[in-house]
Parts: sequence; C-alpha cells; structure tokens
Amino acid sequence: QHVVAVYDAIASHFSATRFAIWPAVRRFMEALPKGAVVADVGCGNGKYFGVRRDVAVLGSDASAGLAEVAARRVAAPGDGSGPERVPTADVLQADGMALPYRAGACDGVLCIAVLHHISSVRRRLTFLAELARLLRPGGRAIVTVWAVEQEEPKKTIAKWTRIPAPAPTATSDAAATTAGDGSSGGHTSTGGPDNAAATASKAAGGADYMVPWHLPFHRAGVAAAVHLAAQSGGAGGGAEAQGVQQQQEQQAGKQQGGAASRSSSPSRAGAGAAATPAAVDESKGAV
Amino acid sequence: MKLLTHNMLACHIKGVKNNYPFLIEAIKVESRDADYDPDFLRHIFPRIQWPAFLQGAQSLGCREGLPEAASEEMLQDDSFLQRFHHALLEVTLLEGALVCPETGRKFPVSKGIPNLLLNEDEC
Repeated sequence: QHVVAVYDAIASHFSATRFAIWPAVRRFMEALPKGAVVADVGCGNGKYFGVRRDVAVLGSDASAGLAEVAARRVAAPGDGSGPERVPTADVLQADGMALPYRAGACDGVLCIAVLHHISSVRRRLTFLAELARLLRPGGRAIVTVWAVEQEEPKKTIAKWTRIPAPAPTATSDAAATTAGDGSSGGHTSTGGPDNAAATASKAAGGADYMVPWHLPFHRAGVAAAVHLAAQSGGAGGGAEAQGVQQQQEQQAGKQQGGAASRSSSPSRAGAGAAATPAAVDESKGAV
Repeated sequence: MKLLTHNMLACHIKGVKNNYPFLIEAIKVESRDADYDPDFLRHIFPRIQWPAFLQGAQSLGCREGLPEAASEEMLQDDSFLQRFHHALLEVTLLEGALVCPETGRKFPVSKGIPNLLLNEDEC
C-alpha cells in the first residue's frame, strides 16, 4: 500500500530516472516469436513497450501514477516530439499478487525490479506462482531483482531517503530522533520478513519506510507529495516497503547534497499536512 | 484499453468461476491510428479467443464486418486483416467499465486505463 503511495507521489521523477533498457531484458524480448503476448508486471513507466513492436506487451502497475505515464508511452502523439507510440502495447492498473489475466494467456512475462517490494518469502512465492499461472506451456518469464550484496549494506543504506512512518502526535523532537541515525535505518529490510511485518503492524512510529533513491526534495511539489503520502499511506501498510536500488541516482544524489545545506522551510511541506517538515529527513545527502 | 487486452483479461475475484470475458460498459470510445502490420496480425490471431473478441467488438461498436467464425485462410484476405487490425489495435475504450460476468462488479476504465485492483474482501 505504502509503496504504491510513494510511487504515485514521485511518478514523474521516478520515470525520468528509469530510461535504460537492461541488456538481459532486451535479449529476452528479442528471443520472443512475432505476435507473442507478454505481460509486463510492474511495468513502471512502460520503458520496455517499444523494444519489439511486433510483440503485444500488456503492462500492469499497482500505481495509477506510473500507469498513466506508461499509457502516454502507448499513445504518444507520433509527431516526432517524443518517443514513438507503441500501439501493440496497453496498460492496466493491477496488483501483481492478483493479476487479471486468464491462465496461459501469455507467451512471456517480464517482472523487472519488482520482487523486492514484496516483503515476505511466502508472499514472494505466491507472486511467482501467479506469474507462472499466466504462462502457456513452454512460455518464459524473466524476473530481475536487486541484490542486497552489491556493496556494503551501510553504504547502500546511506544513499536511501528515509520517510518516517507518521506518528499521531508528531513533534519535531520525535521526528528528529527517528530521522537521526542512518546506520540503523536498514532495520525494516534486514530484520527478516516476519520482523518487518511485526514492526509495521505496530502503532505509529514503528516502521520507517525506505525510498531507495534520492528524491529531489528541493522541488516543493515532491516534498509535499511524499509528505502527504507518508501521512495517509503509512499505517499498517509498512510490510511492503522494502527496496534496494542504486547508482543512476548519483546524479540526483548530488542535487540532494546541495539541497541538504538549505534548511527545509515549513512552507514547502505545506498543503495542510499536520506533521512538521522536520519529519522529512534531508540530511542523508552523503553519497 | 484495446480489444487485444480485453481478450486476455479474466475476472480475478476469489471464487468466481464464470470470469471470462468481461462485459464492457462503453462510455467513451475512440479510434487511434496504428501502423498496419499484417505479419503481426497473422501471428497473434491464434492467441485471440474469437467469440470473446466479437463480444468486445459489439460493445465498442466495431463488430460490423467481422466474421462469426474466423479461420486461418482468412489471414490471406487483406480486407479481413484490415478490419481485424482496426478492431484489435485501434478502437480504444477510454471511459467506461469492465463488468464481471458472474458478480456484476464493475472495474472502472478511466483515461483508457482499467483499474483492476481488488478490494480486500475480493482476494
């Protein structure tokens, strides 16, 4: 739930950082027969839609914000002003755990950088079984995930932006305490699936949610949107909020590093949010 | 949403048996140009459930000219392919709903995107 709220809030920024076609996925797509039907589960901004125009890619995402970005990819104006339209693709809003496709409808399934959003092993197995259900006999799926062990965990976590869970009576002191310690920030992800579920089910102040890249908080709209998402989406949805991603965000990270030296002004996190701006931690700029 | 997509969708509410195809409530339908690729059409044809395709085409107003039963040999007929192409890839449901054939539950379609998220009691 919370993951979706965050993605909705940052959809356009996220989309702008997701443009590279991964070679392994390109190879997978190129091996498909003409006229193949492929489900792109967690399609994000639809970046894989255009790799093969003679393959029908049905993209789905739980985030309405990202689905809308992907839909623009499908129906692009085709006047040369942007990416070519892909009329053989289509988009729906759906949860990966409950996909609305008939069994065996697909020749292929893409599931790129999605699995780490699912917190427990049990749920991940359910999800993978769901992907398999979609495939006709002989069909193939490609599932990619981020490896935690790409570098030292502390180094990775230091790059993440933490969005503290909303507390019913948030004061700047309480928020500052939870936001303070970078090295313990990974507890929701490294604690194991049941730990994460337990902390998430605690009352407010329990789980923090890690957004694994630097958000451009110096852009007022983003700060406010994320703040509101954390407010409304936080309670009870925390078990889904896990993710390790990397690098491409170095560039955004440098931007953030600059922004961190300016203190966040109350007016930026406005829009009627009750919690104080200090709850959004901008001091994680270290790369 | 295109009829290509509709053809692959089935209602995923827990316990529902008669789940395919979705009925369509069409409020706003548009046609969007798509490059004509007969080779693609010939290859995707076997994946399409034809009766469901006809039902969808009826709801979106592009049923006319499509044969009751389609056979492989029609794939050599250019005028059939053109009509198939138009109904499969160009006619788009922008606003409306997909309706579960068993429960009547409506899944809204807005800006061309069907929202197929389930409620807690449906999964």
